[in-house]
Amino acid sequence: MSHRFTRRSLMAAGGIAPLAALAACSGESPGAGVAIDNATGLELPNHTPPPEVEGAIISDVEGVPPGYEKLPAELIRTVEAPPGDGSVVTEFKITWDAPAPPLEENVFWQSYNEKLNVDYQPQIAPAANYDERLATLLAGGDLPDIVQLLDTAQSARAIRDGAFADLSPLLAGSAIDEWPNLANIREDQWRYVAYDGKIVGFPIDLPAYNNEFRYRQDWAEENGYPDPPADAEEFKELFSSFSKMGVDGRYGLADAPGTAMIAANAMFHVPIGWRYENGSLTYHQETEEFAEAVRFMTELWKEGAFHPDALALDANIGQTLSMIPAGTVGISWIATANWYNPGVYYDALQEAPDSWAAFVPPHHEGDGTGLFGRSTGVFARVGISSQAAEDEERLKMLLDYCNYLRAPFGSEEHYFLHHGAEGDYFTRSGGGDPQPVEGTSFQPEAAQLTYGLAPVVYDFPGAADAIEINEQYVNNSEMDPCAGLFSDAATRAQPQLDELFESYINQIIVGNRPLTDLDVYLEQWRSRGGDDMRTEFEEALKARENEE
Amino acid sequence: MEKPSALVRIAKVVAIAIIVTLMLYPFAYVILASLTPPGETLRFGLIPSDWTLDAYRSVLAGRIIPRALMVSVGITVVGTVLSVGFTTMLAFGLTRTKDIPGSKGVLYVVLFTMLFGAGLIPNFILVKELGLLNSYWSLILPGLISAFNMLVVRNFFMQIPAELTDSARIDGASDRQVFVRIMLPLSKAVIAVIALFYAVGYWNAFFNALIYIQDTSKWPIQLVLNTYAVQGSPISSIENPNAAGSVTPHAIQMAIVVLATLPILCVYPFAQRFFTKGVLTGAIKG
Amino acid sequence: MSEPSSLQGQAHAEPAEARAVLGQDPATPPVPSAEAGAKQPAPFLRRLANAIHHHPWMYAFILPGLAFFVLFHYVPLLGNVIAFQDYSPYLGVIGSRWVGLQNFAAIFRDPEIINAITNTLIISFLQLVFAFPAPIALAIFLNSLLSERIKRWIQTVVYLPHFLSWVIVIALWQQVLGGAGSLANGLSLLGIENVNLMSDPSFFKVLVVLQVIWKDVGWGTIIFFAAISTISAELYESAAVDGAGSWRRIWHVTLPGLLPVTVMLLILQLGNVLTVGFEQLLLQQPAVGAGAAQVIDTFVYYRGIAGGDWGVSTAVGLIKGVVGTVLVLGANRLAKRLGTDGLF
Repeated sequence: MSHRFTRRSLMAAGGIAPLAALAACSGESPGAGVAIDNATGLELPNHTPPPEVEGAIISDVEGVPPGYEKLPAELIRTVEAPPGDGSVVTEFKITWDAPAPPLEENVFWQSYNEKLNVDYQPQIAPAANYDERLATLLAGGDLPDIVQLLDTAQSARAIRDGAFADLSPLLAGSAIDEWPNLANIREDQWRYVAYDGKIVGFPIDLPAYNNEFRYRQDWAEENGYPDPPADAEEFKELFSSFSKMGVDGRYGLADAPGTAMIAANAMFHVPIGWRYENGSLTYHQETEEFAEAVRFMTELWKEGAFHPDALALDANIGQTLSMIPAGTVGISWIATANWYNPGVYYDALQEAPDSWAAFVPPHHEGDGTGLFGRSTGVFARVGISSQAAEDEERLKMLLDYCNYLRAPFGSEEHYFLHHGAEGDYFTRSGGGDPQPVEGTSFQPEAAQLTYGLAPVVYDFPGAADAIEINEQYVNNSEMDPCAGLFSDAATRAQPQLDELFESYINQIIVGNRPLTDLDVYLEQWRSRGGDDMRTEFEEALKARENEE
Repeated sequence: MEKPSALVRIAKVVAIAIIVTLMLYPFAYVILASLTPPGETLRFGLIPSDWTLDAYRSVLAGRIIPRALMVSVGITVVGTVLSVGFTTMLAFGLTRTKDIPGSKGVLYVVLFTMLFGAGLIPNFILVKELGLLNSYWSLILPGLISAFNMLVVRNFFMQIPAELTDSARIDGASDRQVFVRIMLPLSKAVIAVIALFYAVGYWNAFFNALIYIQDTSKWPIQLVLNTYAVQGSPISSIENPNAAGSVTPHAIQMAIVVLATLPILCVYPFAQRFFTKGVLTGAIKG
Repeated sequence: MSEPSSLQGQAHAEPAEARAVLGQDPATPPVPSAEAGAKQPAPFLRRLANAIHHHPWMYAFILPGLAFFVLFHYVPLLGNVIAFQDYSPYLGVIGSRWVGLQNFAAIFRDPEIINAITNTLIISFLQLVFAFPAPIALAIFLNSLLSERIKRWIQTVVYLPHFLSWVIVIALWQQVLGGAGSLANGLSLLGIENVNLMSDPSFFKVLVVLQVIWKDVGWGTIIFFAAISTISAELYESAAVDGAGSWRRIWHVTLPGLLPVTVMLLILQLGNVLTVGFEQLLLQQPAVGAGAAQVIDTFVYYRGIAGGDWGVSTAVGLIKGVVGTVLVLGANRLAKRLGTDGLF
């Protein structure tokens, strides 16, 4: 079981493809390996912005996904010929869904093979067993051609040991122009898929900030709070009031630390990841701000804002998420797209438009907004195995294949990947909206097959609103200064340190431990790997500075 | 036998009521929760005012389930038959460690395997080298004989009074005949037990399939269902326009429990028939 | 990672009834030579050849099973060499660095190990004392019911919880014993507030054992029902004729009848003393903290799979195996000394 994915990183219910699952992981060190800066010595491929599409809402703020309220009437073509050569292409993918129907029964899969001229054979791993599956693939000696690499210890080790091809020679600088869709990948994203100055894969897209906070405005008004909370005090009062409305099973906050801690960290401006000053690093948990955020959490607990089983809810995401449409919790923090695409959350909102309103947690004293953690833009890497890359022809074919998959919104290829061939699942006439075909279901048959390289966009009505909200988050976000650095100590120790966090911080919040135990916790954190991490990261940061 | 006193009887009834409630309540909850629509929440003791089969529709929409069910049934049946056969044979072979040189050593060998294991990767490599990857046999062979089950059977075999086997041997019966004509018929209870254990084991197995089977069309039911709602991971909540309604992750989790458990629950009543008392009664006479 | 046997996907008996006791063949005529299996010069081989000649079927029965165990259990055991390496799956056994006893040293230097071992032993002990006898008591109780139909029906009901996964079991227990659960609600009506049995670190070990009992007591009775059914009815009848009431019949007929199976399971349970559950504890650790919930298997998980350190998890497996072997051998000798047939 890949613990890190079942915890905070999966706070959001999945959406289609790249918006699935991940929230911005603030404060968690990203990688594994030796303490080095991955981007050092990296020759960046040139960036080409995606082609202009009519009706696109492009935000000025970098990292906010482009919005498209509807499909453009005319689709452009980005790929001239089918990328494959008819051979088998194997891929190791992570999934959060049930497997797709097999080839013989899967119309989409068949047309996929035809259109791309491949014999596509994915091997899927459920998210919870990703590490074990990957380990057996590596040990077995034949890795699939393409491998989705989550940020786990196993994949870090594999990258370090050279299991994946160095793509830099083929992609650096203007070489990437041969694959124009891949050139849409932003510079900052390349930095985070690199290892030791080499490009070892492509990013699975992630917005700079994937989720948004919402609260029950209708309950708030009932309790005399017409506006969203303006400071931490009001936040506390507001959400506590939800628990005291006398409605059985209704609580302001559900999981702890969970959503509430993310809000608290934001409000108290806890540094993201590490604070880097004058050549030395302080971990965010070592800062004063964090201590205040923890104290605030204990206050929330004492006020009764939390569900009594808050700690258990933190471990069972399915149950927590179900509380949102069920109307038993007053706060939510899930991927933005969920509120706009049909599904449980969207439906709940449709039925009661006054219920869930977006809000941005404020600065704890009302002095502006909170501070949020900006993602690296990379949810996972998609690597090509060294074995497959030995044959240069084959490697180029695989790059063509990846290029197809990364087709931008508004292209024929992108349309095919999200709607299937014309008439199979959807029909589209005269540039209007695609209409579903009776008796077919696209999602179960195709979603898993196409999950991966597709770029993140907000392609739903209401995209403009979503963008506006997202801008507020991204504008008030910072990135972890240690993002993009590999530290051996971090990879090895992080799971235990997560466990340590649970033992101390969780218990402090619910009052089983005194607030002073925070110092005890920090001592242990330092000796069990924290100090090692610090040393390694500081070295890497110095090296990075010297490069520049 | 005399009837127990009224007080004792009442106490028994109360005890039964408590036990049954404790055991049945969760299943009632699970079934009700799987039928609960998104707008409601199921609390202890409350029946939802509205119910929907959407969770089941959602789970069954992939059309994978029927095939996975067949795979599971096939593996369970074949696996159980083979396992029971080989297990009872080995158990019988080890019942006479004094007379059969080497058999005590084999006993140690088997026992030792219960204490030491090799872990994920060595087992995977073995299966791979045997060419069993992606084959249904990788789900049966590695677990063909459970040392524990074998020891249970052996224990029961050894409880069978020696007079029966001795007199048969004196009459000239070979070991094979002793096995087939005496041991097996008298061991219906324990065979039913290990058949049940094996059947449940094969039915519930998903980890082997996870690492050995790459072709998802060969996945057994537990693995398929496992991918829906594992450890509370989110499920794609984007509904295709053709499906009915929308479902919460919680309801789906519960629906999966129902679908995964129901079939195997039907097996136990068959095994129960063999637990009739006194199978050895009167066997010693004559 | 769950114990290796779960990889085989077998319905392995739960900790409460771990392993089987092997009795010695009760009626073999005394054989003058030493026990089979001991390495001996020529006489052994001659005896072996002789025996194969006289008992071909016995060896035919043994051979496939032996082959199975050698192939599927002993061959992979060679993989335990990983315990002495800084193993990387991609580089394989050949390509990974040799580190000797470093993994073992790292385990014992880890600040969390004492806590893990202590918790494991305490929970194991509690399980041995409470969870192990529970199925026996339940089996005897159900056996004393007169109506066959009710007996059968309850037998079916009682083993249902075994089929629920730990995720579901814990979620269900939350519903009742959690902070917002029925128990808490009920008690608050009586004026007792803030009762949350699921998040109480000091109650946790008891909670764990209760959960195990609830989940597996029914399933555990199956073996005992089978054992009871082999007790000759005549024994009950003659006891009744001698004037024994139901309690004395249980004491003098039923329990002795269950003794061989019970000793069998008990000895194997001892061999398993360092394994007390994994998923059950991992899921509840966020609520009560590692201080209360850390056991050896979760300890290994955080360093092994999650931390990418296969060497450590394999090393722990070896240690567990050695400890288990010592305990099984010791328990077996003790059992024999107390007059029962040992395990071997």
